[in-house]
Amino acid sequence: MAEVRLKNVTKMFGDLTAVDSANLTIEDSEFIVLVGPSGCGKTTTLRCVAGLEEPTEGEVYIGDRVVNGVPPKDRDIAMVFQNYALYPHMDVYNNIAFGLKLRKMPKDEIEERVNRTAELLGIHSKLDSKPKELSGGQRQRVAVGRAIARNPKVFLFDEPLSNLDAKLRVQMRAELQELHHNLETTSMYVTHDQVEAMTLGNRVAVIDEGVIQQYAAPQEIYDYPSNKFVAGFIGSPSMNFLDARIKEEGGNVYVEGDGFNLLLPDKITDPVEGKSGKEVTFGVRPEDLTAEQTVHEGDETKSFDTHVLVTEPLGDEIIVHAEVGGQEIVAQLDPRVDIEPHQDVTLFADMDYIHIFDKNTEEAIV
Amino acid sequence: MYHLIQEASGWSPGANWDSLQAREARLAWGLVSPTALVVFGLIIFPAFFSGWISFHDVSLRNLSSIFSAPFVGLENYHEVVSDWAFKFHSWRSWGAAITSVVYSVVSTALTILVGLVAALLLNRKFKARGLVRATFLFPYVAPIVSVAFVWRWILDPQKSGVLNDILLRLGAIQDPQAYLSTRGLALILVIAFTAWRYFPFAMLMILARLQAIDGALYESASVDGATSWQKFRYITIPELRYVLGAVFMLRLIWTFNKFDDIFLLTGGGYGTNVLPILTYQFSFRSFDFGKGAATAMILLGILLVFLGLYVGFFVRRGEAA
Repeated sequence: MAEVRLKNVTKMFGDLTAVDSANLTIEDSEFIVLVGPSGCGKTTTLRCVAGLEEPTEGEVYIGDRVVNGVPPKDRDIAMVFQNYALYPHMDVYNNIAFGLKLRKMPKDEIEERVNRTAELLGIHSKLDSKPKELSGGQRQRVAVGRAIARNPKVFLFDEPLSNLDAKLRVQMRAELQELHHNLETTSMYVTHDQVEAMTLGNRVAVIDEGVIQQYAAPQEIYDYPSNKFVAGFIGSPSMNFLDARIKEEGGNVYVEGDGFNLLLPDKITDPVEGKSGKEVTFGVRPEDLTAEQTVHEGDETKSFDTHVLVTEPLGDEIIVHAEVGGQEIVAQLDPRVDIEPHQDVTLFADMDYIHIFDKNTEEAIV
Repeated sequence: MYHLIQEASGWSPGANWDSLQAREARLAWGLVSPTALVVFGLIIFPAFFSGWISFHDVSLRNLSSIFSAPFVGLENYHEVVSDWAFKFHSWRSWGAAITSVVYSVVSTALTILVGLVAALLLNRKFKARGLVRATFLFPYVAPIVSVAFVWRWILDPQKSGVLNDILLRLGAIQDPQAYLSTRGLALILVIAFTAWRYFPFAMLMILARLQAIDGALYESASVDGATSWQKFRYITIPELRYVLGAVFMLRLIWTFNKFDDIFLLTGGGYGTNVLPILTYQFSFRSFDFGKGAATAMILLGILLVFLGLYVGFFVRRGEAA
């Protein structure tokens, strides 16, 4: 096991910058997730650690060693590929044993390791099968088995669950979590699925356009996104963004937009004080909105008067798409509230969990 | 065939002559018959007729009254087998059947080896790859007569022959050599010519398969610790197994049947006499059609064995898949 460190790693493909001076430290036995949209550079970052790509600039450390220029086989890593990349002409036993055989491990030790791995992953009865005779979930287990049998310093996962159906994905996610709990091997995991990122990672790196936007624990990313991209990418349904401006009046600070005028709580006014008139983007998550039946005095300082466009009842919740001052707002509400399309509804924001972003830089202000 | 058409059209003899099914059935017969006639006239009838001739003494004398030619039983076969086709006279002189087998097996193996190396080279990315690929196809697409004569010109026994000229100038030889009329060397040259001419076919098939191999397999092997040779040995070769087998069997059958390549280079002389050329020599040099037909039948017999192996190979593959 080892710490993995990326220092100013840049990877160019011709004129295209896939990874832009990435700095990332994965502590020993930590499980971190790289998440971002397609083409954001997360897989390229992983491949730089694997040695399948050579960084154009910067250093990759595994343990204390700079591994730039070291071929993948000498980095003591194991990788699980998106399409599993099982050797089609070898049975499961040999797929798992292949890396051990190449490392000239004694035969009885190979056998013991393969058996132990197969036992751990529940594929013992499939050792004689060829990959094409296996289901998607079993192939996935073989691919993971091939990685853990070698007992490497670092596991690299490249979207390993994206070829599975939804139900199996949830199950395998839990199994991977348990596996990491048992093995405690340093792991890097690439996914575009924010749910995988939130559930699996000790820490999550959100990447966009080759740049690491934020690298923090999942809850911190959710509660304190560092910019508008992270705020919009993490969370489902996505955070609402409304054009607004700062207004100071009578010692209070408000954020004001078409159809709303919200009083900011004292504890978060510091960063915006004295910036009256500044154009900002106001953000609030759909789950931080509620619809009250009765409106009390003073409530107008934390509410939106909206007109409902569409409702999506999901059983355990209802997603309401509404309009406020010409901008769309989505709320995730208690399913038992009585809301119909084309109805006017007052939505209340939990002002402890609102976000304000600079309109130009899109960096978080509050 | 009748049965098939009947089944396809749902027509039965009791149905109305003018019914839709009957008209469709007549159309089907009409569409099939030109091909059927050509196949029967040019393939099936000559094959059976050759079989008949091989048991009779047919020569120029009685060609006009061929059906009264005397029946000689297995005599033609006996003479061909004992004198010409199979006999191993000495290391310097083999029967045509042995030459045929040596020629086709060795040249096919060489074809595949060269094709494999070429495919592996052309599978890499480099500048002007398309141009190089097209150039490599040249031996296969150029007319056989022209390329055979280019080879003969290079190997010409006179001082003006290209190879002789070069070697003489280099001082490697004192006198011009007759390469294509040297026993042993002639067979090697014919094998080299065949491998050179047909490697692009093997190359194309292998290249197509190479490009279909999932690149992640190689990456996975890199991570697992494989060297370039081990990747070739444990991934490329197993992935190419079926295409190599199929190309080998196909080329073996085609090469075994080949007449023109050898005939144009050596005319079948100097230890390069193979069964197709022997057939030609019996029939159209000595006009002993009976022996010619018997030789052709022997050729057919060996081809059927190869064909059986080929079909068996694909049946096994079908079961494995």
